[in-house]
Amino acid sequence: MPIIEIKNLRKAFGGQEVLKDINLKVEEGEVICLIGSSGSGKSTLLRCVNLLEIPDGGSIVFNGTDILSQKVNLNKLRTEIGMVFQNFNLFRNLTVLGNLILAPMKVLKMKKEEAVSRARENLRKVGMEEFAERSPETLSGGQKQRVAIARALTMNPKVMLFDEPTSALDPEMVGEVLEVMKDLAASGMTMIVVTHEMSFAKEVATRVIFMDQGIILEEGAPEEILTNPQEARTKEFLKRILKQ
Amino acid sequence: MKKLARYLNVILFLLGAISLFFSLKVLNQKINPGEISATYHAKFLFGYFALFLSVLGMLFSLWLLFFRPQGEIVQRIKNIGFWALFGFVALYLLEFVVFGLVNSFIRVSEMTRIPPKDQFLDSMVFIILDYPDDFLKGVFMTLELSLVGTLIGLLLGMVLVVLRIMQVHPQDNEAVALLKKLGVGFSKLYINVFRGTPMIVQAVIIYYLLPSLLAEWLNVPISQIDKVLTISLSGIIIVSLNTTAYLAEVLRGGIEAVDKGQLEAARSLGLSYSQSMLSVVFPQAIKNALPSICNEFIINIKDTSVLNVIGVAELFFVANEAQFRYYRTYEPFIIVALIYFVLTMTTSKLLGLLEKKLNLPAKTLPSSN
Repeated sequence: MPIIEIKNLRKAFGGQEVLKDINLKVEEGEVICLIGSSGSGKSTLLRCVNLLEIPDGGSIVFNGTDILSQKVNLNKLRTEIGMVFQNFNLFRNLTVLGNLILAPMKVLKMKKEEAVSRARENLRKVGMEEFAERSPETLSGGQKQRVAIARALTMNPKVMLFDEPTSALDPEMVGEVLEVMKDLAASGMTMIVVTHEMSFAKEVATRVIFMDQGIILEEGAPEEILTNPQEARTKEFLKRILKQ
Repeated sequence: MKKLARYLNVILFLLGAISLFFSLKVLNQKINPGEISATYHAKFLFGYFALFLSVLGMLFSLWLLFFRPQGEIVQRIKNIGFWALFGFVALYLLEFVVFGLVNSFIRVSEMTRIPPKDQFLDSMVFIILDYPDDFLKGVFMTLELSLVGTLIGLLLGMVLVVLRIMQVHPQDNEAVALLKKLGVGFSKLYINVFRGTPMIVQAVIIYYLLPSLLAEWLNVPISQIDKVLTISLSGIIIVSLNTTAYLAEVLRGGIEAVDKGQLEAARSLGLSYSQSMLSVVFPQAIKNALPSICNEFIINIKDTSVLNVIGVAELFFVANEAQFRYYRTYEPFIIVALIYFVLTMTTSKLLGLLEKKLNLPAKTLPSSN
């Protein structure tokens, strides 16, 4: 059984259709890279999965339950789907450690000592344990993003969503974040990644999906899509992105 | 001193001018023939000396300004001139201002009636000496009104702003949507009414309307209500209600200045809307709004003066009383103006220090964005 099953998903912003009839199945342990030019709807699709955007139609089944039905506890659902943002969005009023223990304590009602020990473990995973007491503003972009990944991990999510996690970073900091994401993929985490890093897609993804104007135009194994695309738009996009 | 050195020429000229003014004032003093003594001779000799040096200093600074001579000797003369003229000015200020004030206090302390109108300084000193408790009480009342009023206003403003920023979502059912709309409407109306009318008018209306409404509602005589709802309590209520409206808007600005991503990140971790607001957005919003909240407190120190209209014994009211007690028009008000000035200046400096301390962790290392 797939962990996420999206059927006929539609979403419009003020009359403009951003997602038109999206169908997608994600199996457990898959790493899916969503590629496509800006405005193609890939970020919106990602944000629909944890309902940061409410779809206009279609269905999303996560782990056997239809999350668009009224009965679903949105907050509980979101604890099982981790999200990493382009702009990190670390809580500026809290320290690094405070960022990591807030949700486990408030949502999972964890004791502080337990939350702290789990937080430190996750910070160790991303190589940030010595920065636990620092304020987020004193960190570099790459460090911030690694903390943001650790923060999402403290909720023990079943799926991780990455919304262009390296797009706001200086080039020399992209590597450290991708390294952490590779480790995560290797540990068997189910991941959906919106990215422009084709080398990452090639190396780590189990499937690459090319989106264009609100539809999934082409999908398949990374070698297939990235080296031998069938659609004219995919070719054009890859040519443009690889030239940079 | 390094910064001053850039303007040393101009400073030298100004010091010379001030010292010239004072020395001429000394030399012009009328003296009764009988009073001439050794100290007077000394004073006059010193006056001529100061006059001579100030003219010399001014000419020297003009010469410096126009011909810009360089050299170590010029620099040394400049420094000596500065300190000499500075000394004269300091001495004369001591003589005319400090000694003048001390003398006035000594003279006035023995008086039983207020000095004549032309003796302005003495009159003020007399009022201060004769009336210190009332001025002190006025200071405390003003501080109490503005401090308590601002704090209560902040608390109520937090409640009001929660109503103000509610948004109707498509998944809300009808009853929730209606309640939300009512809440937003109420807060908007409240804010507009209280910001759109003068506090002095609000004060009069609330002061007379509230007791009679309460009396009717609780079915007790007005005299009993007045016992509980004293004038100063009414004053605090009025300032609080007024401040609530202003601080709600200030807090809304603070909330809107918090990056949208902060709320999204909190929601994505499973925190509910209220949890996210309480733990993540509000703390940042209050930090954003802190300078404006402090500002509101300082404004309240000044604006509580309108409460004299309902008879709250704050500073303005005290000055008004003094005006009728001593038959002096502006002297009591100059005294309270000075007191207000000292109050607002010291609070703004103290709050500035507080803000600096709270913002300390914001010191940033270079980062990628």
